[in-house]
Amino acid sequence: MNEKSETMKDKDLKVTVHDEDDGSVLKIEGEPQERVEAVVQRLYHDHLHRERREGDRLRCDANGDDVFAHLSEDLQAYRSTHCRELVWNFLGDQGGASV
Amino acid sequence: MILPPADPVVAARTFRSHLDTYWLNSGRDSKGWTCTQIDELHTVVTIPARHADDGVDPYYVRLGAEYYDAYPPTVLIVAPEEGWPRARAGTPWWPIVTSLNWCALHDTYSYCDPQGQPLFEGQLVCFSMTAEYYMSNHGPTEEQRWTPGRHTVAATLSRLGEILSPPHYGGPSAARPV
Repeated sequence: MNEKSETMKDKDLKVTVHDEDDGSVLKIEGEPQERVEAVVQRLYHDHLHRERREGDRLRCDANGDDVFAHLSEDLQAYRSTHCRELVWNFLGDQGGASV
Repeated sequence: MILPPADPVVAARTFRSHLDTYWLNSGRDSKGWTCTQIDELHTVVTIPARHADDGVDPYYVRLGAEYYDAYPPTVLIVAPEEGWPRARAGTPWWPIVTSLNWCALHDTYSYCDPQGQPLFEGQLVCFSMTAEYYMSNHGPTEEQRWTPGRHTVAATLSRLGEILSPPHYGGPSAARPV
Protein backbone atom coordinates (compact mmCIF):
# COMPACT_ATOMS: atom_id res chain seq x y z
CA MET A 1 0.00 0.00 0.00
CA ASN A 2 1.48 3.35 -0.95
CA GLU A 3 1.63 6.42 1.24
CA LYS A 4 -1.28 8.10 -0.48
CA SER A 5 -3.67 5.19 0.00
CA GLU A 6 -2.63 4.82 3.63
CA THR A 7 -3.40 8.49 4.19
CA MET A 8 -6.81 8.08 2.65
CA LYS A 9 -7.54 4.96 4.65
CA ASP A 10 -6.59 6.54 7.93
CA LYS A 11 -8.53 9.74 7.33
CA ASP A 12 -11.33 10.30 9.80
CA LEU A 13 -14.83 9.65 8.57
CA LYS A 14 -17.58 12.18 9.10
CA VAL A 15 -20.99 11.07 10.28
CA THR A 16 -23.84 13.53 9.73
CA VAL A 17 -26.69 13.23 12.21
CA HIS A 18 -30.05 14.91 11.67
CA ASP A 19 -31.70 15.38 15.03
CA GLU A 20 -35.35 15.00 14.07
CA ASP A 21 -36.49 16.20 17.49
CA ASP A 22 -35.11 19.73 17.17
CA GLY A 23 -34.17 20.02 13.48
CA SER A 24 -30.48 20.49 14.09
CA VAL A 25 -27.66 18.82 12.16
CA LEU A 26 -24.36 17.81 13.62
CA LYS A 27 -21.16 16.30 12.32
CA ILE A 28 -19.27 13.68 14.28
CA GLU A 29 -15.83 12.55 13.24
CA GLY A 30 -14.83 8.96 13.67
CA GLU A 31 -11.72 6.98 12.92
CA PRO A 32 -12.20 4.24 10.32
CA GLN A 33 -11.33 1.45 12.76
CA GLU A 34 -13.40 2.91 15.56
CA ARG A 35 -16.56 1.06 16.54
CA VAL A 36 -19.89 2.55 15.57
CA GLU A 37 -20.69 2.45 19.27
CA ALA A 38 -18.05 5.10 19.98
CA VAL A 39 -19.63 7.51 17.51
CA VAL A 40 -23.05 6.87 19.00
CA GLN A 41 -21.65 7.51 22.47
CA ARG A 42 -20.33 10.90 21.32
CA LEU A 43 -23.75 11.71 19.89
CA TYR A 44 -25.34 11.09 23.27
CA HIS A 45 -22.60 12.67 25.36
CA ASP A 46 -21.83 15.76 23.30
CA HIS A 47 -25.16 16.58 21.71
CA LEU A 48 -28.03 14.91 23.50
CA HIS A 49 -26.41 15.15 26.96
CA ARG A 50 -28.08 12.04 28.23
CA GLU A 51 -27.94 8.27 28.17
CA ARG A 52 -29.61 6.19 25.50
CA ARG A 53 -33.23 5.41 26.34
CA GLU A 54 -35.63 2.73 25.30
CA GLY A 55 -37.62 4.14 22.41
CA ASP A 56 -34.74 6.12 20.90
CA ARG A 57 -34.29 5.50 17.21
CA LEU A 58 -31.19 6.06 15.11
CA ARG A 59 -31.41 5.12 11.47
CA CYS A 60 -29.42 5.36 8.28
CA ASP A 61 -31.06 8.07 6.17
CA ALA A 62 -30.57 6.24 2.88
CA ASN A 63 -32.28 2.97 3.78
CA GLY A 64 -33.79 3.26 7.27
CA ASP A 65 -31.43 0.63 8.65
CA ASP A 66 -31.16 0.61 12.46
CA VAL A 67 -27.76 1.98 13.49
CA PHE A 68 -28.06 0.40 16.95
CA ALA A 69 -27.90 -3.01 15.28
CA HIS A 70 -24.31 -2.32 14.19
CA LEU A 71 -22.69 -0.94 17.33
CA SER A 72 -19.96 -3.56 17.41
CA GLU A 73 -18.85 -3.00 13.82
CA ASP A 74 -16.01 -0.71 12.89
CA LEU A 75 -17.06 2.48 11.16
CA GLN A 76 -15.35 1.80 7.86
CA ALA A 77 -16.89 -1.65 7.49
CA TYR A 78 -20.27 -0.32 8.54
CA ARG A 79 -20.00 2.39 5.92
CA SER A 80 -19.11 -0.09 3.21
CA THR A 81 -21.88 -2.52 3.90
CA HIS A 82 -24.77 -0.63 5.50
CA CYS A 83 -24.74 3.15 5.18
CA ARG A 84 -22.44 4.52 2.52
CA GLU A 85 -23.19 8.22 3.04
CA LEU A 86 -22.99 7.98 6.83
CA VAL A 87 -26.06 10.16 7.27
CA TRP A 88 -28.19 9.19 10.25
CA ASN A 89 -31.54 10.35 11.62
CA PHE A 90 -32.14 10.46 15.37
CA LEU A 91 -35.59 10.42 16.98
CA GLY A 92 -36.37 10.18 20.66
CA ASP A 93 -39.40 8.31 21.88
CA GLN A 94 -42.91 9.59 21.30
CA GLY A 95 -46.23 8.49 22.72
CA GLY A 96 -49.69 8.06 21.34
CA ALA A 97 -52.53 5.71 20.76
CA SER A 98 -52.06 2.76 18.48
CA VAL A 99 -54.01 1.74 15.40
CA MET B 1 -56.62 19.81 29.65
CA ILE B 2 -56.87 23.48 28.73
CA LEU B 3 -53.52 24.67 27.41
CA PRO B 4 -52.33 28.20 28.24
CA PRO B 5 -52.18 30.30 25.07
CA ALA B 6 -48.74 31.59 24.14
CA ASP B 7 -47.88 35.22 23.56
CA PRO B 8 -48.77 35.36 19.86
CA VAL B 9 -45.83 37.53 18.86
CA VAL B 10 -43.28 35.36 20.64
CA ALA B 11 -44.98 32.16 19.49
CA ALA B 12 -45.05 33.26 15.85
CA ARG B 13 -41.39 34.25 15.91
CA THR B 14 -40.27 31.07 17.66
CA PHE B 15 -42.36 28.85 15.42
CA ARG B 16 -41.07 30.49 12.26
CA SER B 17 -37.48 30.24 13.43
CA HIS B 18 -37.81 26.55 14.28
CA LEU B 19 -39.64 25.78 11.05
CA ASP B 20 -37.01 27.60 8.97
CA THR B 21 -34.21 25.72 10.72
CA TYR B 22 -35.84 22.38 10.09
CA TRP B 23 -36.61 23.24 6.48
CA LEU B 24 -33.05 24.32 5.81
CA ASN B 25 -31.38 21.39 7.54
CA SER B 26 -33.67 18.60 6.43
CA GLY B 27 -33.78 19.45 2.71
CA ARG B 28 -37.55 19.13 2.67
CA ASP B 29 -37.84 21.22 -0.51
CA SER B 30 -35.90 18.62 -2.45
CA LYS B 31 -38.20 15.92 -1.11
CA GLY B 32 -41.32 17.64 -2.42
CA TRP B 33 -42.53 19.25 0.80
CA THR B 34 -43.89 22.78 0.61
CA CYS B 35 -44.94 25.42 3.12
CA THR B 36 -47.79 27.91 2.73
CA GLN B 37 -48.05 30.54 5.45
CA ILE B 38 -51.69 31.30 6.27
CA ASP B 39 -51.09 33.97 8.89
CA GLU B 40 -48.50 34.71 11.55
CA LEU B 41 -49.49 31.69 13.61
CA HIS B 42 -50.54 29.19 10.98
CA THR B 43 -48.82 27.38 8.15
CA VAL B 44 -50.02 24.61 5.86
CA VAL B 45 -47.36 22.05 5.08
CA THR B 46 -47.75 19.83 2.05
CA ILE B 47 -46.36 16.38 2.76
CA PRO B 48 -45.87 13.98 -0.13
CA ALA B 49 -47.03 10.61 1.20
CA ARG B 50 -45.09 7.79 -0.38
CA HIS B 51 -46.50 4.42 -1.39
CA ALA B 52 -44.36 1.29 -1.24
CA ASP B 53 -44.28 1.40 -5.06
CA ASP B 54 -42.90 4.98 -4.96
CA GLY B 55 -46.21 6.59 -5.91
CA VAL B 56 -46.89 9.87 -4.13
CA ASP B 57 -50.06 11.46 -2.72
CA PRO B 58 -49.81 14.97 -1.27
CA TYR B 59 -51.47 15.65 2.07
CA TYR B 60 -52.03 19.01 3.68
CA VAL B 61 -51.46 19.66 7.35
CA ARG B 62 -52.20 22.96 9.05
CA LEU B 63 -49.82 23.70 11.89
CA GLY B 64 -50.62 26.32 14.51
CA ALA B 65 -48.44 28.06 17.06
CA GLU B 66 -51.21 29.00 19.50
CA TYR B 67 -49.43 27.28 22.41
CA TYR B 68 -45.91 27.13 21.00
CA ASP B 69 -43.41 26.25 22.22
CA ALA B 70 -44.50 25.44 25.77
CA TYR B 71 -46.61 22.89 23.92
CA PRO B 72 -46.32 21.41 20.43
CA PRO B 73 -47.99 22.94 17.40
CA THR B 74 -51.64 22.28 16.79
CA VAL B 75 -52.07 19.84 13.90
CA LEU B 76 -55.06 19.59 11.58
CA ILE B 77 -55.23 17.55 8.39
CA VAL B 78 -56.97 19.81 5.89
CA ALA B 79 -58.37 19.68 2.37
CA PRO B 80 -56.77 21.75 -0.42
CA GLU B 81 -59.81 23.95 -0.81
CA GLU B 82 -60.67 27.56 -0.10
CA GLY B 83 -60.00 28.26 3.57
CA TRP B 84 -58.21 24.94 4.12
CA PRO B 85 -61.18 23.15 5.75
CA ARG B 86 -60.72 20.17 8.03
CA ALA B 87 -60.28 16.93 6.07
CA ARG B 88 -62.67 14.13 6.95
CA ALA B 89 -62.33 10.37 6.98
CA GLY B 90 -63.71 8.84 3.82
CA THR B 91 -62.48 11.67 1.62
CA PRO B 92 -59.43 11.81 -0.65
CA TRP B 93 -57.59 14.07 1.79
CA TRP B 94 -57.66 11.70 4.75
CA PRO B 95 -54.87 9.09 4.81
CA ILE B 96 -55.18 5.48 5.81
CA VAL B 97 -52.45 4.69 8.33
CA THR B 98 -51.68 1.27 9.73
CA SER B 99 -49.18 -0.66 11.84
CA LEU B 100 -48.21 2.09 14.22
CA ASN B 101 -48.03 1.69 17.99
CA TRP B 102 -47.45 5.37 18.73
CA CYS B 103 -49.99 7.26 16.65
CA ALA B 104 -53.62 7.14 15.65
CA LEU B 105 -55.68 9.42 13.41
CA HIS B 106 -59.17 10.18 14.69
CA ASP B 107 -61.68 11.86 12.42
CA THR B 108 -63.57 12.88 15.55
CA TYR B 109 -62.48 12.58 19.15
CA SER B 110 -64.20 13.83 22.29
CA TYR B 111 -62.89 14.38 25.79
CA CYS B 112 -65.19 15.61 28.54
CA ASP B 113 -64.58 16.70 32.12
CA PRO B 114 -66.14 14.64 34.96
CA GLN B 115 -69.30 16.76 34.71
CA GLY B 116 -69.66 15.80 31.07
CA GLN B 117 -68.64 19.16 29.68
CA PRO B 118 -66.64 18.78 26.46
CA LEU B 119 -63.05 19.97 26.85
CA PHE B 120 -61.93 18.75 23.46
CA GLU B 121 -63.87 17.77 20.40
CA GLY B 122 -62.59 17.49 16.87
CA GLN B 123 -60.01 15.83 14.70
CA LEU B 124 -57.14 14.30 16.62
CA VAL B 125 -53.73 13.41 15.22
CA CYS B 126 -52.82 11.47 18.31
CA PHE B 127 -49.17 11.45 19.26
CA SER B 128 -47.19 13.40 21.81
CA MET B 129 -45.82 15.99 19.36
CA THR B 130 -49.22 17.61 18.73
CA ALA B 131 -50.99 20.08 21.03
CA GLU B 132 -54.28 18.21 20.63
CA TYR B 133 -52.74 15.12 22.25
CA TYR B 134 -52.45 17.10 25.51
CA MET B 135 -55.75 18.92 25.06
CA SER B 136 -57.51 15.56 24.87
CA ASN B 137 -55.94 14.46 28.14
CA HIS B 138 -53.46 11.87 26.90
CA GLY B 139 -50.57 11.07 29.19
CA PRO B 140 -47.14 10.37 27.80
CA THR B 141 -44.19 9.03 29.77
CA GLU B 142 -41.57 11.59 30.75
CA GLU B 143 -39.39 10.40 27.87
CA GLN B 144 -42.23 10.85 25.41
CA ARG B 145 -43.46 14.20 26.68
CA TRP B 146 -42.95 17.33 24.56
CA THR B 147 -40.04 19.21 26.14
CA PRO B 148 -39.53 22.89 25.24
CA GLY B 149 -35.93 23.51 24.32
CA ARG B 150 -35.53 19.91 23.27
CA HIS B 151 -38.42 19.43 20.87
CA THR B 152 -39.40 21.79 18.09
CA VAL B 153 -41.84 21.63 15.20
CA ALA B 154 -39.20 19.36 13.63
CA ALA B 155 -40.35 16.60 15.97
CA THR B 156 -43.92 17.01 14.76
CA LEU B 157 -43.08 17.11 11.07
CA SER B 158 -40.60 14.25 11.15
CA ARG B 159 -43.23 11.96 12.70
CA LEU B 160 -45.88 13.09 10.23
CA GLY B 161 -43.44 12.27 7.44
CA GLU B 162 -42.89 8.84 8.93
CA ILE B 163 -46.62 8.16 9.27
CA LEU B 164 -47.06 9.02 5.60
CA SER B 165 -44.36 6.65 4.39
CA PRO B 166 -44.06 2.88 3.95
CA PRO B 167 -44.90 0.65 5.69
CA HIS B 168 -47.50 2.80 7.48
CA TYR B 169 -49.14 4.77 4.67
CA GLY B 170 -51.99 2.84 3.07
CA GLY B 171 -53.31 5.34 0.54
CA PRO B 172 -56.12 7.90 0.69
CA SER B 173 -59.40 6.91 2.28
CA ALA B 174 -61.23 7.74 -0.98
CA ALA B 175 -60.07 7.98 -4.58
CA ARG B 176 -58.32 11.19 -5.51
CA PRO B 177 -59.98 13.45 -8.10
CA VAL B 178 -58.44 12.98 -11.53
